[in-house]
Amino acid sequence: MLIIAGIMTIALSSCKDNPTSVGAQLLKNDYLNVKQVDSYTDSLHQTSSYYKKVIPLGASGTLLLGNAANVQASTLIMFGISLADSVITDLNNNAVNVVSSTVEMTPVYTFGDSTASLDYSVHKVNSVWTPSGFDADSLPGLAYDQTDMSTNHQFADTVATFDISNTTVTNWLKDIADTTYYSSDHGIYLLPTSGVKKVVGFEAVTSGTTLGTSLHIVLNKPGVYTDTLAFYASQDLSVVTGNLPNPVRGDMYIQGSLSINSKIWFDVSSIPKNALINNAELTFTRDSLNTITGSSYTNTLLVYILSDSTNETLADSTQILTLTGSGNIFQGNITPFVQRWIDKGNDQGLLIKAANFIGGLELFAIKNSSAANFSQRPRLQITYTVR
Amino acid sequence: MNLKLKFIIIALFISQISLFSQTSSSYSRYGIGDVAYSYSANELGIGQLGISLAEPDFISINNPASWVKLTSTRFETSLSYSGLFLSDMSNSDFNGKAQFNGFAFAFPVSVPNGISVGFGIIPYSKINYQVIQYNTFPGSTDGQYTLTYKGQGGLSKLFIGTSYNLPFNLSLGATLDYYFGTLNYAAISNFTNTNNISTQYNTTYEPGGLGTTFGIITPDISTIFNSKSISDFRLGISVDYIKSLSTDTLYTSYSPSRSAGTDTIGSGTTTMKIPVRLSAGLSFILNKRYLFTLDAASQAWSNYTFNNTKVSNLRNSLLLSAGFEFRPKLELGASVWKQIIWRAGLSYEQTQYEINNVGINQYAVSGGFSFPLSYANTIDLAVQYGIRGTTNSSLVKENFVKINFGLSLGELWFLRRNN
Repeated sequence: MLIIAGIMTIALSSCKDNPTSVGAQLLKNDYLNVKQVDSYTDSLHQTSSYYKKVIPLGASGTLLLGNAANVQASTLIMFGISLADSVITDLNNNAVNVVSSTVEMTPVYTFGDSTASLDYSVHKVNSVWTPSGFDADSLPGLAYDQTDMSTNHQFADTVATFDISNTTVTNWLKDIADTTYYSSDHGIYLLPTSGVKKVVGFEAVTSGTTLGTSLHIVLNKPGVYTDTLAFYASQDLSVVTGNLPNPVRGDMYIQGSLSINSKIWFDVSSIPKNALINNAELTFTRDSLNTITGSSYTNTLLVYILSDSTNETLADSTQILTLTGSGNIFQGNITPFVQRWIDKGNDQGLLIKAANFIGGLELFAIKNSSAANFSQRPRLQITYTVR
Repeated sequence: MNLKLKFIIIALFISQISLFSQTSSSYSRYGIGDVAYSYSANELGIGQLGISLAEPDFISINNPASWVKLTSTRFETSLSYSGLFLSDMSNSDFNGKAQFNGFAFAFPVSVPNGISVGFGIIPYSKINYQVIQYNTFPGSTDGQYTLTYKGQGGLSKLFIGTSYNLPFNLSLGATLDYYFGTLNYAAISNFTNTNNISTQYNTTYEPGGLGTTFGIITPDISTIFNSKSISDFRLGISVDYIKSLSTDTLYTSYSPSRSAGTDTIGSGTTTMKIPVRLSAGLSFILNKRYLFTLDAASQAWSNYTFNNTKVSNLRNSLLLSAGFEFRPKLELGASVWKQIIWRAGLSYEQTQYEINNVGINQYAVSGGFSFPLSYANTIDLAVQYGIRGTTNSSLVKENFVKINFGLSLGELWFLRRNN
């Protein structure tokens, strides 16, 4: 056994796993080729375009209100009101009065002229809406009182308040107290006044810790008590309407919330079937003159792969890559998408969205596929291996 | 449990394990790789073949007719180490590999009739290479990249057979063989720039199918020489026939950028046709101590087909070998050193490889010994040094050393007790 162990030790200690190129010349039939393609130097054909797609913004963490650039933003809020039994009894006995009803909102974002004032009206909503099902296309069907039910608008850096009609609030409370009636509470609709030059974003109710807008109701039972009840928004959403920006030759646009997406397609047919993509870098150049950003934003673009570029159908909505902005450049790795084009033999291009596509209003102007300056056109650099 | 039995079981378990690292002979990319003519130190020591040898203490895998001489149950296994010095016109390299070579087990059923049964599993061919090319992107800041080509695997042979003594002491043997294995070829690209991901192409063949080995060894015909010095003169012939092997093929590519990673480029089942191997040899004993062997094995690799297509770079192979063995006279009380069996061999092989219109030939010398552990049990060692190929015509010259360490264990099993 000692002899066996000795020989195995010698044999194993002599093993070496550090290959060299000796013998590679015998393997020519197996040779791999590593190649690089650059849309800039190799003149890959490319096309790009942009379009507006209305989407519901109920999942956003920001409520937008105002007018700026090419957008008008309005907001729907509904409060979750629950009452103590004693208050219900008092309401049913008409024993209490609503003294005041104040809505409090927390501004977190500004788009447009930050020094401009924010004027708006508040309207009682008379029709049902849901955050997930209501969008800009639903707006014409929204029923609301034309009368502005708000007064006493106050706006500070950290809080904005306004009072709403005590009569309306009293009716909401009574509807809740008397369950024999359907509730008339469908919330309020905040509409910017024409001529407003900015959009303000307020905290929205989210599934996280943000409570969003609050409603403070002061109730008085004459001679007995005066209480302030606070309720928070149970659902809210913004509705952003507007048009595509006036086109500037050589630009394509990306904007959240409205929302504007871009599509881009590169002709990668020169890459052989079964090629393996080692790296694919996509670079965009920002047109800083026509780009508009808000007080805070995510300087990132999202990239999706399309399965049908005509209908903007995504091949896989869960697979999202990013282009990170730095200076006037957005750049990111899209290797999985180019590999998929090659594997499937179906290159329908890419869809580009703003990172904050349901909360921000940033208008990113990107040099497009027909930009006069060739070096500013979208650039795709691919390294691939083929056998 | 008997210690020897325990050892056999352990050896069976590990006999197919290939140890880490590898030799790197790119020649083995062609056909089914390097053909293994011998698995044991005994065969390697006498030049690999020994077609006409029939010895009671040795299981020949090249000619099952030799099992007629077995008088005890035998188990043989071996471990080998291969060191390979490679060189081409501009570079050289050394690498090595250790691996187990399989095992053979045989036992006599009827010694007077020469009936023995044997089985085992041994390598038939081996593929082993790994080379790397270093490249730089021209005019790019992407740095270097490497292309690695790897081949691993080979064909194994599982056999079971028997031997029988025909009239006039003509020995006959045959085995039913099952050939199987995996032949893997990979090509990998790697990059120094970490933005580039490594990708890989893989080709896998999994052949499987039946074959047979048939052998004859003549009786001692030394009387024709009318010499007292020459004895035990025998001729032997064996034929290895392999039916077309059904081969599963799989071509894949791997990229971590895919969610599934691997994509199948193609798959299917086809046939691999390995040509018949014809082997012949003679052996005789001089002065009752010195055994000489002369052998030849030929295989028409130019007829090898894969997917019904002939493969370029293959030609007919021919192995010629000469062997010598010295067996000391067994005397009571002799020291173990005086019981050592010594072997030596020479071989020339016109290998099946023909690259760039140049045939790849191999010359080798070998030597070895069997060290007695006890009656019928030996430790066998053989060393072979050889040269294969040339650096001309963009080819590779290989200087190799093979060390084969084997165990040959014998014991009386299965024999009926005489009352």
